[in-house]
Amino acid sequence: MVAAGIAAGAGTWSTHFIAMLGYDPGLGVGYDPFLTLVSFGVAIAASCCAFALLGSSNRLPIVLGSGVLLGLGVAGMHFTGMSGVRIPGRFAWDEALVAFAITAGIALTCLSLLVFTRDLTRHPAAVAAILLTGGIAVLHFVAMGAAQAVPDPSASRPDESLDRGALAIGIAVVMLAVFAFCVLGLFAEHLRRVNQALAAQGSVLRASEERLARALDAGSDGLWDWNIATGETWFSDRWFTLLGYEPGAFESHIGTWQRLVHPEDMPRAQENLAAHFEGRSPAYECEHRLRCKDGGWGWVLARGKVVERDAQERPIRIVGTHIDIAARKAVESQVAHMARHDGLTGLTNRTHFHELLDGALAEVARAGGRCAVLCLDLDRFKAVNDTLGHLAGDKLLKQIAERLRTRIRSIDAVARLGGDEFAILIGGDPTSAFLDRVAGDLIAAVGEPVACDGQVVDVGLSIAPDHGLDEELLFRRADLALYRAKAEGRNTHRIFDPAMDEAEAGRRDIGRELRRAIAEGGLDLHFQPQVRATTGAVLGFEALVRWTHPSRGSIPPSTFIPLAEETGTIVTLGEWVLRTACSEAARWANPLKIAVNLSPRQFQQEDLPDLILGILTETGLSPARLEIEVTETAIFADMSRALSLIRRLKALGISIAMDDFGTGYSSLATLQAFPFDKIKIDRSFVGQVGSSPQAAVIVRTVLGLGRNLGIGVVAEGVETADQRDFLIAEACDELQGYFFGRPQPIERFASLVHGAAAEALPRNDARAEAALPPLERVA
Amino acid sequence: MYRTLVCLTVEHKAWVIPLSAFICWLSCQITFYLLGQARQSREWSVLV
Repeated sequence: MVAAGIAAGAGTWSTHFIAMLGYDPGLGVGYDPFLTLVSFGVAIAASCCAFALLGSSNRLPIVLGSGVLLGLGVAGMHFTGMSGVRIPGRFAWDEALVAFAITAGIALTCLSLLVFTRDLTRHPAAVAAILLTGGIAVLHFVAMGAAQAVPDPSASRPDESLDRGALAIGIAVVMLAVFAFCVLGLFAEHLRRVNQALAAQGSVLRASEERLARALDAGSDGLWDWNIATGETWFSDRWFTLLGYEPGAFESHIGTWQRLVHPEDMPRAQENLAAHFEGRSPAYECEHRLRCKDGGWGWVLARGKVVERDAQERPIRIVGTHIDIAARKAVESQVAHMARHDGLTGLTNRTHFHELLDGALAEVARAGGRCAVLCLDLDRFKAVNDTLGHLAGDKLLKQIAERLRTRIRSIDAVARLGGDEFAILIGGDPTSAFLDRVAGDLIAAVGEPVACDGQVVDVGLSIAPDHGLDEELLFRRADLALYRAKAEGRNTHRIFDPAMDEAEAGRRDIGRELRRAIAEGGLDLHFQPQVRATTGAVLGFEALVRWTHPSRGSIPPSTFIPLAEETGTIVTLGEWVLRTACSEAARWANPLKIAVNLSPRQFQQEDLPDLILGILTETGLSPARLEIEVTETAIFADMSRALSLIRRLKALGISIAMDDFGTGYSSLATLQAFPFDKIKIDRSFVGQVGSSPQAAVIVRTVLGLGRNLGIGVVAEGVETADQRDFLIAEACDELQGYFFGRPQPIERFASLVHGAAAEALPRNDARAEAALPPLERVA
Repeated sequence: MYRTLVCLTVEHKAWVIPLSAFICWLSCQITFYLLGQARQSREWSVLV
C-alpha cells in the first residue's frame, strides 16, 4: 500500500514536471528547489493517505473520500509546484478554469477508485489506471491553461532557481527511484507471498510429521534407513523394542541387521535386495527371522524401497520397515501342520505321506537302495464304531496311532490315510527279513488289548524298487498285499507278490465280463424252495443268480458277487435279478412267494421303492408274493434311512426278511425297531445243530425270540433229516436247504409252480436225491 | 477550454505531452497493480 502511494505520488509529480520541462511561456522558466521538493512531498503524502483511507473500508463514502483526497493531493502538488516556478513576471489565474480543473481531476480520480474497488469492468485495474491518468492530465493541463504568464520587467530573472537540466535529472532520479521502489515493492510482495506459502507448507509439513510420528509410535512397524554407500543405518525405537532390545542398543550400522538375520534366511534376503537394487523388482520385500534378545527368532516382514540413486542408477539410500509377523507365521505354521497331519491322531495325513513317498522314491531312483510301503487296515473297526459309538472308535484310532508311532524308527513315517487305514513308509534300505519283523511287531503292538476292545490288524507290504518306483503303483501293490492278508486270515501280513497282480488282473477281467454278461443275458436265475416245516408244503422260492462263463465255466457267486459289490455293478445285477425273478414268478400258475436278496449297495438307492414298484407293475407280480431279504450290514449303514425304506416297502405290501441272522451284529434292538416279517437263521448254525450244543442253543434261542416277537423264522441250510427234525421239534416255521432242493432252474420245479402239487416237493429231484438223503415228506 | 488548447499546443513542446502522459499512465498502472496485490492479501485492512 505504501509502495502504491509512493508510486502514485511520484508518478503524479513526475508527470507534472516532465510537462513543465516542455512548458515555455516565452519568458524563461526556473524552479524553486524547496517548493519543488515540497510539491513532491505533498504528492507522496496525499497518495499514501488516500490509499490508507481506501484500505480501511470498501464502503462508498470511504472510496469517494479517498478519491477526493487523492485528487486534492494531485491539485496540491500541482499548485505547490507551480508556486515554485520562477519566471520574470507572474501568473494570472483563471479561477473558473482552476475550479474546473480541480473538480474534473477529483471526479476522474474518484471514478478510477470506484471502478477499481467495485470491479465495475472486466479489467478494473487497467481502466482505473486510465481514468486516474486522465484525472491527473486534465487537472494539470487545464490548470496550466488557467495560468497566464504576465511579464513583469521589474521582476528579476530566476538565476538562483533550479534550471531545466537539474529538474530533468531530478525527474529521472525520481522516476528511477519510483521504478526501483516499485520493483522492490513487487519483490517484497513476492517474497512475502513465498514466505506465506512456505509458512503454510511448513505448517502442513509439521502437522504431517506429527501425524507420522504418532502413527509410528502407535504402529507395530520398526523403521530403518540405510545409507548404502556408508553402511550407516538408522533404526527406529520401535525396531529395537520389536526384538526385545532397548532403543539404541546396537550400533547404527547395516552390520547390526546382518548379524541378527537368521543364517538360513540371509541368502534369500540378499537375493531380494539385489533384485531391487538392480531394478528387477519395484520394492524390496522378504520374510525372514531376526535374533531376539531372549535368544529366540522373531519373524518379520521386511519391506523397503530405494529412495536415492546416483547418476549411474546405483542405489545410495534405501528406507523401509520391519513388520512383526510372528503371529501370522504361527497361524500359518498351524495351518500347514493341519494340512499335512491328521486331526484326530496327529499322524501324517495322506497328502503329506505321498510327498514323503515321492521323496523316498526319488532317493531310491537316484542313490539306489530300497524303501517299503506298509498298508494297514484294522479288522472290523466299523463294528467298534457301530456298537460302541464314534467316540470309542476315535479313542481306539488314537491308541493304535500312538502304538504305530512308537514302533517305527525316526527315519520312517506313519500316516493315517483315512478311516481305519494306515500306511507306513520304511526307509533306510530295509531287508525283507527286517520288514517281516516290523510287520510282525506292528501286528503284535496293535493286537495288545486296548481300553475299548481287542483289535486285530492286517498288513500289506510293497517294496521299492522291487515292486516299482511309481508311487501309485507301490501303493496299489501294498493294497493288493493287504487284501491278500485279509483273505488269507486275520491278523497277518503279506508282502506283494507278482501273482497278486495277475489275480487282480483276473478280477478286473471278471468284472468286465460280468457287466457284459448282465447286458447280454449271460446270467441265469436258480430257485431254491422254501417249505413249511410242519407240512413240507412249498411256500415259495429264493431266487439265486448263477453265472456260467463261456470259457471259464461256472463262476461261483462268492467270486463275482463281492466283485460286483466292489465295482458297483451290483446295482445293475440286483435290478436284473429282481426283474427276472418277478417276471418268472408272475408266470407261475401257483401264487408262491419269491424271495430276492438285496445288497447293501442297492439298499442305499434313494429310488429303491419306486424301482421295485415299477418292476412289480411291469411284471404284474402281486407285491404280496415278493419277499425282500436284507442283511444287517445294509441296515447299519444308515439305520434311520433303512427304517424309512423298509416301511415304504412294507406299505407296498412287500414282505421283508432279515437274512443271515446270527452272523453279523445280531442286534436285538434292530429286531425290535424294524418291522421284519421273517428272520432267516444263518446256515452256519443250522448245519451244526446236531454236532454243537452251542449252535443248537443259539438256534433254539432265535426261534424262541421270533416266536415271542411274532416274527416268522426260516432256517437256512437244512441238509439232513436230523436237522429238519430238530427244527420241527423247536417249532421252526419254514425250512430251506439242500434237503428240500438245491438251487436249480425253475424248469426243474415246473410241477410245483404250475401243477397242483405245490404242497409237496417232487421225489424225482435227481440232484437232490443224489447229494442228500431221500426226501421225506412231513405229514 | 480555448486557453487550455493554446497552452497545450503553443506553450508546451510537442514531445512533452505524450511523454508525460505515458509516464503518468505507467505510474498509475503500477499504482493499481500494487493496490491490487495489497487488496488480495490478507493484510489489506490490517496494513493500512
